[in-house]
Amino acid sequence: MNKFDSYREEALQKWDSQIVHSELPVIYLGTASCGIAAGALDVLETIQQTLTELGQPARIIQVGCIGPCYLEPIMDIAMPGGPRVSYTNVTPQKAKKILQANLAEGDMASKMAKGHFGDDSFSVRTGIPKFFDLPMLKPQVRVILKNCGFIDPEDGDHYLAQDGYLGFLKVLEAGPGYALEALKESGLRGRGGAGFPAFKKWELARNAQGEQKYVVCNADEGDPGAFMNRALIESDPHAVLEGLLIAGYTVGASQGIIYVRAEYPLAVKRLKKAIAQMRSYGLLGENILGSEFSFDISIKEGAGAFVCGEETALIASLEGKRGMPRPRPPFPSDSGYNGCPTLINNTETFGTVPAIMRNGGEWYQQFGTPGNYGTKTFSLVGKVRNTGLIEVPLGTPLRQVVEEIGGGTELAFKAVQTGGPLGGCLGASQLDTPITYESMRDQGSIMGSGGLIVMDESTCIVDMARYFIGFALRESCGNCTPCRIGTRVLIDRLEKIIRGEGEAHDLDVMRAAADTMVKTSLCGLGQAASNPVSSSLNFFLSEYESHVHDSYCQAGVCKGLFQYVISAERCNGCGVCVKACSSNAIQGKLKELHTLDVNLCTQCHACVEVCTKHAIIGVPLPAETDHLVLSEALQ
Amino acid sequence: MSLQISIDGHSLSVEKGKTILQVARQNGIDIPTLCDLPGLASHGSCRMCIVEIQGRPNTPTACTTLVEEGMVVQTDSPNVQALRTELLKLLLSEHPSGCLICSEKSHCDDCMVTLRKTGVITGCRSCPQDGQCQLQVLADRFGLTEVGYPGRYRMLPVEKNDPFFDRDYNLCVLCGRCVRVCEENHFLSTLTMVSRGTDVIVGTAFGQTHLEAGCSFCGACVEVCPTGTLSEKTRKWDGKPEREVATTCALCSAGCQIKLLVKNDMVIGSLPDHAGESDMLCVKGRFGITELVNHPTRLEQPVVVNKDGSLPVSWEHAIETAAEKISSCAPGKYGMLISADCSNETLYIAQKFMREVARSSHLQTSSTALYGVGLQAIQRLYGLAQPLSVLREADAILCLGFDGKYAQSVVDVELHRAKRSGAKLITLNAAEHSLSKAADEWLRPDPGEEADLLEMLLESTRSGAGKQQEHLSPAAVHAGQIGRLLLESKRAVILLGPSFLTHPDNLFLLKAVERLVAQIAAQLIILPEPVNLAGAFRTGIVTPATTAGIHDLEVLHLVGETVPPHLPAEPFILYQNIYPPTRDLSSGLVLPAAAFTEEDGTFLDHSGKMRSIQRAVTAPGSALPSWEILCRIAQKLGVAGFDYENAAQIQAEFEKIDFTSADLTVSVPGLLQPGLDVFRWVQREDHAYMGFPLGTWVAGLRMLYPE
Repeated sequence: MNKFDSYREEALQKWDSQIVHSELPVIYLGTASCGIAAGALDVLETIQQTLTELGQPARIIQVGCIGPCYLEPIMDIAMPGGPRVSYTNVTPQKAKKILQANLAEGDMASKMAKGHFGDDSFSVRTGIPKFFDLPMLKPQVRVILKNCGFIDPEDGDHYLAQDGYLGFLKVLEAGPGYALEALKESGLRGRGGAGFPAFKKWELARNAQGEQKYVVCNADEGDPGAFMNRALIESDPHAVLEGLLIAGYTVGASQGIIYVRAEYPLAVKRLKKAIAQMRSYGLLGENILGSEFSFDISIKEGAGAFVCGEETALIASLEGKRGMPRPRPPFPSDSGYNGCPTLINNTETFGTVPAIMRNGGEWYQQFGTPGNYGTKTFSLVGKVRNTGLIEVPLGTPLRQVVEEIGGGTELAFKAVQTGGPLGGCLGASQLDTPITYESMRDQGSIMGSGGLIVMDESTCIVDMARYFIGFALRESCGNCTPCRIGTRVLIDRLEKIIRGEGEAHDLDVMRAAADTMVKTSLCGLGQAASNPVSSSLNFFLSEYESHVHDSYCQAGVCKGLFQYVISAERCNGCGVCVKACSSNAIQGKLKELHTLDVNLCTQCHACVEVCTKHAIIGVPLPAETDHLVLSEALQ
Repeated sequence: MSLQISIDGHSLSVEKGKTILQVARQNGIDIPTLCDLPGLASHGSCRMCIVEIQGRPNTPTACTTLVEEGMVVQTDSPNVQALRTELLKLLLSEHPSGCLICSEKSHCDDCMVTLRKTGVITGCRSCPQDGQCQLQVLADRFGLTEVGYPGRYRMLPVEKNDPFFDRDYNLCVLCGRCVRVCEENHFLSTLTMVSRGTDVIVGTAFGQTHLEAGCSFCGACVEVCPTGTLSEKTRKWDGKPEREVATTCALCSAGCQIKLLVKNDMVIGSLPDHAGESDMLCVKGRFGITELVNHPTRLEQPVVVNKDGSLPVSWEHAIETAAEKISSCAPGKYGMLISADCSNETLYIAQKFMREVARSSHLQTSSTALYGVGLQAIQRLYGLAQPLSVLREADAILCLGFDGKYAQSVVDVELHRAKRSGAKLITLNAAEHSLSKAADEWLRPDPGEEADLLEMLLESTRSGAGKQQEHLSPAAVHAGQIGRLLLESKRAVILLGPSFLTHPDNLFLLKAVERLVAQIAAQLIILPEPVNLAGAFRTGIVTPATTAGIHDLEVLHLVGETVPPHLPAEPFILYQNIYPPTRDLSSGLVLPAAAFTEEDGTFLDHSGKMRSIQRAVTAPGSALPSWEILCRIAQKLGVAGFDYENAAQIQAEFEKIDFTSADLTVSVPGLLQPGLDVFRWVQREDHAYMGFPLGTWVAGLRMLYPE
């Protein structure tokens, strides 16, 4: 115990001298995958160059994702004695200007600042709002994401300085019974999507018969558009590892395995580093901290299969077998990896555990609502203005997430897809639904792992359904009849409708296939795969009917089912669309209303994407149009 | 421990640990299935066996759900029926089902005879499995008349490049039975599921042919396929067999129980007889029989041959000629060569014929040349021979010269199974063979050095062995380790493969085996290739060859043997076989014999157990069982005691005789000398029947055993 205490002491001192009371300016830069994708590495180079040019020493801390990805690259500066000030959408040129101002001219460049992490008086003095008061962040509650964007994920000492591993120490002292009680009281439900009470799973694993037990962290995160687990691992890997360690101790496992998808190389790298750090702190190996508890963690990378996010398929993959789900019972807690009792939870579930152990189960109840305690991270993407990683208490109304945090949509809101490709979409009339496991299900969707994809009037619901069913079709393991063939039937009919050949009967065929899939599939993938179709048929039937009966795609997406026209009210004659069109279909003089020749138009969508005024809209074709001829012409 | 549950309103007391499906079957409740196969672990992929269980959502599958106390199950509610129908419709949307919905289907059968073989299967009528298909059974049961879902045809080419069976995966319903039977029951994993999602299909690793993928062509996958996806080439369009006849495979000494499939008085195929304790067959018994017994060149009529040519004659004329030749032949000038593939009845009658009709002692079998000087040792070892079932209890198994890749692959499976149960598998073989990878230890002598290695093994199992000797070679050290392992085992089994028994050094090798058996108290399994070697020993056919060379014979009687390529002074040849001689005769009689599918009889398998063969079809033309031909000649010559009406009467007679004590041995004053290459014309690599290599008649075997 003493050795660890001394590491902690050192870490606290380091944090104090290097961050809190640093005598050097501290420059923070977000270099998680979102930041890197936005260009943070170029900014990093510029920072280093500028510091050399200015001859000013400063401490650069690379941090993880702080949440609002649409603001990346994010660079923060904390001058000695002052709070951390955040600058967003930083280009290399902007970075240079900001550094110059702060370091050489004593100027905070407040016009370029987005927010700060100081107190109210600083806001009054400078006019810069608190970062967490920004509309996108104000409603959020950061429990899981507490350290993300604040610590260097590759420096274990930073984690130690944030009460790191105190949760584990507490459990080690108080015993596994304490851990189970705290978990039970907290009401934490598995954050992977099914929402099964975490304490129950842990209890089952603990009580299962077997010398050898395993804990597995499911970091496969196969949902397209979901990156909650990635962001957490890249920004605060130790939170997940501490959770895994606590779980291992509680259920009596000696081996932890993190199954992380191979498409997350940065996450894998940071995990490996963090695991090595754990070892050096004496937190892994035989007789950890002088106790009877021995534990080690290994990493297994996935091989590109969405179905391996399903727990029994994941276990098959770990065993080197084909990733096919197995019938349950037996459940993994009785017979999982290599036939041994296996506790398998989502990354976020493990990431939440340390805080619960540190603060107690009752503390967690202050967030969320009865039956749905706590917070959850979501990836808010799509047509909202403010996209990124968010964390809200369960029970938050969808409307608040979309309109307040997301900043709403530019064009009229149409729907939000919740729960990933196996979820359903909820329309404007359902926006007041609070985000809980039950309410999502009652509305015909699922909570899922947390993907929220917002769509506006320029999204075709039928096309969206086709996209998601296509995903399920490719990712299904193909073993059981309803899922393998049902998804093919659905996509067959959807493509028929999108081609303009849809008939009323096709909707019934899809409903029948979906019904069979829900009721008879072997695993959750098959049971949920038809959700995008079922929920959109329920709430957006008119769009399907318009495709089928009128051969008209309202959103102007499905080729041959509309024609483009340029709106006189919206067009400002900027000419950008003329340049974008590769068929010379658009004519128009500067500042004058442009016109589009439908005979030349190939419906490639390029003009729509570049028009900032959303002036190019899809309208119904003339009644006498021969759709087959048109379709051929458009190929 | 028993539980109380209710199925469809019936209260049942059931065993814990059983699935709902197993319990339903035991109680006569019929739940439809497709991917389920008794003997294989449940799979749960077809979803046909869904049932309603009170308190559980949706419809779990009966095959994967274990019974629990108080469970209430509904197997046939309207909801379940409707869902099953939908599932079948989904399956049929990806399976050519034109015939199901065709308006002409009721009177199509009469006109469609040759149009069936179109190459592209579009519906039941053009499918080889029409009338023998599980989908048809289900469609019938559910009263299905339409599919209702958009169709899809996979557009895969039909796989025809492997021997014995074609694969048309456009018909596959992905039940996975073939994959599972190969993996679980045969430990080969030749087949697997390839790709995923809608593209998933059954195939081999990396798109290899089955030949490349190590398939043993045991045909288990073909047997369990519920549709026409896998179809045997030799009976592809024969349709449903008329009847099945239980008999024993006579293509080696294993004694596997088979069912011959018969239609129009012809053998069209064979399957393992699961009711008769054989769950599998090797490629020979599974795919070799049809072509073997039905080749167009089967002998049908007796033929007289002389320098002017050949002439078909009646049996009466043939028997007369034969009798005349024998009676006019001096006793020392008549010799008989008889195959150990013949039934006990034929062997016994031949023995009796030699003593009482020909009064000659020149009786020999080609097995003498096959086994050479080791023959006596083999005969002694037969006193210890055990059945294959002893492998199940073994804790250590030593295989000598055994390769179960194709022929006798059933033994391979037993060995794998024994290994799974914890037995140590040790193999001694100079070449790569079926056990190279699977064995725990592979003793690999250089070709020709098997004797030395065996001697080292023997040394290490002698009591007092284990003393350190510095000058031991690595091979000897290894052999020493194995020897100690065998010494410590409690239920060791030694298995002798066909090539070990015919090894040039077999005398030494077999004597070493005798000592080894005693030293480690092992049980012995012998697997010679001739089907009735044990019967040949028992009926006194096989005796050690003694002196001298071939006397010039006037009459050479061949029973189930082929004609020697060269004989000094061509004698008159009496040739009894199922196929014509391989060379021209200067003078002789060619007499058509029955194959084992056309006669009743018995033989003794590798463990000395009595096995029976049943007459399943009429022999071609006027062919007769070999024993009957001999009896007729005897009767013609006026010798009493040869008027048997059937095989059973012969059996009754020889069963009374104790051959070990009776002075029935016919001394064989060296009709043939050991080592004399006279009989080496029999190519036994791919095994033979009645002197002909099986590859002569069975096309697929030529691919497995290329020259």
